[in-house]
Amino acid sequence: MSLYELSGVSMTHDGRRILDVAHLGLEMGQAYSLQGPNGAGKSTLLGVLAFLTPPHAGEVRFAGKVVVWSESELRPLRRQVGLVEQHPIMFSRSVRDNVGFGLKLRGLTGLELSRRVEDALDLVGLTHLADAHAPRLSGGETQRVAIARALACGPRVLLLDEPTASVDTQNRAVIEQVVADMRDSRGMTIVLCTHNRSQAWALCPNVIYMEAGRVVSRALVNAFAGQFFEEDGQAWCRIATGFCMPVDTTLRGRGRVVVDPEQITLKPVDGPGLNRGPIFRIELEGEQVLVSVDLGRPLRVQVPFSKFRAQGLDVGALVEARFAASGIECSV
Amino acid sequence: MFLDSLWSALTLLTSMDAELFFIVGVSLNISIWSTLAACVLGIPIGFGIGIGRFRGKQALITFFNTMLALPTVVIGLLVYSLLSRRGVFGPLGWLYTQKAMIIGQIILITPIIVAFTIAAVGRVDDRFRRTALTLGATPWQVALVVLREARFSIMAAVVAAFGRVISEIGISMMLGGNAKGFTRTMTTAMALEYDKGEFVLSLALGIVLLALSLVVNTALGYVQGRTVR
Repeated sequence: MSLYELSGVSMTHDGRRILDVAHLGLEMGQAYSLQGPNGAGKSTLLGVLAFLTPPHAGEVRFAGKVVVWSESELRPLRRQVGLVEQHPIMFSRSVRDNVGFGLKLRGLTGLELSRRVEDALDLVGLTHLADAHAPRLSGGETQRVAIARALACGPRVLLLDEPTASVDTQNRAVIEQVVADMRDSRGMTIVLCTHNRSQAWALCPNVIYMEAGRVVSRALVNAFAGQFFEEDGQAWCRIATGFCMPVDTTLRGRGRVVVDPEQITLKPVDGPGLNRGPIFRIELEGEQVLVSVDLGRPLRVQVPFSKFRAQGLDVGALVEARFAASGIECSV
Repeated sequence: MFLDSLWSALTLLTSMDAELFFIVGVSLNISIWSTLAACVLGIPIGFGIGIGRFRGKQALITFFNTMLALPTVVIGLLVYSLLSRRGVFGPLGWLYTQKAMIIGQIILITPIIVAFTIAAVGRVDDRFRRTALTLGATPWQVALVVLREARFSIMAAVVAAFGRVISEIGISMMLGGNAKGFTRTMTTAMALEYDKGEFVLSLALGIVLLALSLVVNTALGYVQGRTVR
């Protein structure tokens, strides 16, 4: 069941459209990574998902109900969502009071309050700092306390805005472990905004890729400018010498193609030819391997780890890329 | 000559001179009550303007900033015209009483507290508001969070306002009349003694004024230091 349904949601700032989501559905209990370049609208989208920023147009549904952007209607919704910003701020109180802040707003007191604060701090491994003055914590500790503060309230949704962007390795490991635990054991819906693709693959394999305020169907890792032409009744797009792919389009002349890295297959070959080139980089991303092939332009191919191992490919190996027409988007 | 006067002033202070302590008492009475009243008025107004989002906000801020430069003699004249026998509030008989002085001082320092509170609230990081909202706070609870984070700046505004009142002379002279045993404050007494060429009491009162300022600021610094430690 969809927890969030966004339709035609848009926001404009100084005449520039900063968010333009035609449709986006987030399933309950799923973990999503929100990716895209800076200024793509990721944080703005998180603001909408946290019910903090009303969109200028469009409809947002939460748990099947249309969200009414009035203060009294939003409060119960906000209480179901935990948002951890990229640079969270600590109230000028102790760590314990910070973590218990949301619980106190919900009327919790005494032993129950203490227990839930302790549990949340234990989750992020900071029980020893419970009585410390929160604004004095380091950046990594602040992130962990902010996560504990959000989780203490037991939200249905956890929104994380680049939580490991400015923390050291040790704190990053703890934060990643907490997110993984939430995903696996509590069935929480998680949206993790990150630039770290490996982290995204490992923690939140459902990718929402944003560019210029829009949710695009897949990561634009293989976006090329090319020349469309027809030969023997088949449309082609030439990207570079020896790099030409069959396309299903009536477009002709200069244009743009985006190739889904998951819909390209690689075959080991012995000599040079069309769409053939050497592998120059291999990256492991969770259960997937991202292979970069030099076809005059770098082509990224995503292969399941098991299949990659079975093929016995390595850096320097000569391969031929084969494209599926369904995995290619053409535009002018 | 200065050292002689200073020595005499210190002797006067240590001798627990009744007149001197009465004058200090009047000054403190006026300063404390007018500061309290200005806080009750000014902090909510400043906070409301600072946190609110409404049309005319900038105009209000400009108004209170302009009021900061209101000359004390103008306030004195205004309150005098209201409290004089032929004034609207003449029948109250408050002219040349401490009440009249307190009213004048309230008019003087309320804009200080309002303007400083607006600035204090404006400086509070917007992430406090956002964080409180995401944790499920009501608008009232969000306002309390912002107020809490701005508290030291607001306290500094209160201290500045108190300092302004206790060292003020124009309003005190015009509305109090410097009546010995009734409305004579430290500053009006100092001015009178200066006119008479008697520096001993002036210096003694000057020392008390400085000492009071030191005590208030030290107390503020102590509270701030304790909280951020």
